[in-house]
Amino acid sequence: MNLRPYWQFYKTIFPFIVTVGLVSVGVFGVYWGYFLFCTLGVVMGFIGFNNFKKNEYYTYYNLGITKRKLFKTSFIINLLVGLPIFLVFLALFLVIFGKTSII
Amino acid sequence: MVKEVFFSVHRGELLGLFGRNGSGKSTLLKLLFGTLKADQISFSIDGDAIKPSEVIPKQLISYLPQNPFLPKLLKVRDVIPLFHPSEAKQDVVFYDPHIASMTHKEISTLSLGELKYFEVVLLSHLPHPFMMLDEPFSMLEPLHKERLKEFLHNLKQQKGIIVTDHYYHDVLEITDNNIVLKDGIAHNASTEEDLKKFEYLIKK
Repeated sequence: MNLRPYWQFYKTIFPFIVTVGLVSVGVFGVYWGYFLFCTLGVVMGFIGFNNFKKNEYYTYYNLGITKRKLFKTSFIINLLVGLPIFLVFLALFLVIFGKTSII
Repeated sequence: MVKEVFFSVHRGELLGLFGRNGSGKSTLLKLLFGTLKADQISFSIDGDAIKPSEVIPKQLISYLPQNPFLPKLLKVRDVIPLFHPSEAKQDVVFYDPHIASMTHKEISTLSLGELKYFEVVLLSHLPHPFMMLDEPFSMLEPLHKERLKEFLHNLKQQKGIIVTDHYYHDVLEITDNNIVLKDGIAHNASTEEDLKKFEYLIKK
């Protein structure tokens, strides 16, 4: 199975995901921020892709990859990517603020 | 918009699809590709009935859309392995005489002709038995148009191809059969006279 296209798609939507994550961490704290990064982040990634790069879906369609497949794999990759990021953020928050929430 | 369209295309055949703007050419291609839903559609490949939702996951038909579709920030040499994991196939694309000189370039910096040719070559080496091209000659300079025509003429030995474009001379030069969409209905057409008969061209 060629994994490159799935990874390429995830890299494309990652800026949207990380924006949601950073905003969520800033507003809701690390735990809720991580939860929203993992869930809402991917949804916002798709919305961003639809608005700014919609025609690039044809790259994936021609490779036999449907939107549903892209969503499932992006969700899984995001969980795998998100855990180490979450742990780093948790550590940073504890060190800098002595707690895990700004509010 | 698309009402009664009946046609067949075989491997080794190139079918031209004509129609005025808004006649439903791109719509028809997207209905076949499965990215638009039809109220009623039925087609088969090699005698097996196919649902439009199966076209993409089973890689039955590849589709070159009107507008560029490759990730703009990647370089040509990075897009090739994205489409073709096998090194043998990568080499075929990489060493294509018109692609070899641009492998270091970013997709966003390619000229329209270079990009269109690259997109067609990439798709042509995928395993799909059929291919649809939506206005591949649009805005291409003569040199790139001739290259593309030659490539498609050779490619049809392996695949069944549907081409739609307003550069009707170029399409008629390479197609085996043609249909014209008028008022949502497909009509067979062989010559420029037929295109005039179905009001795609003006009669003088």
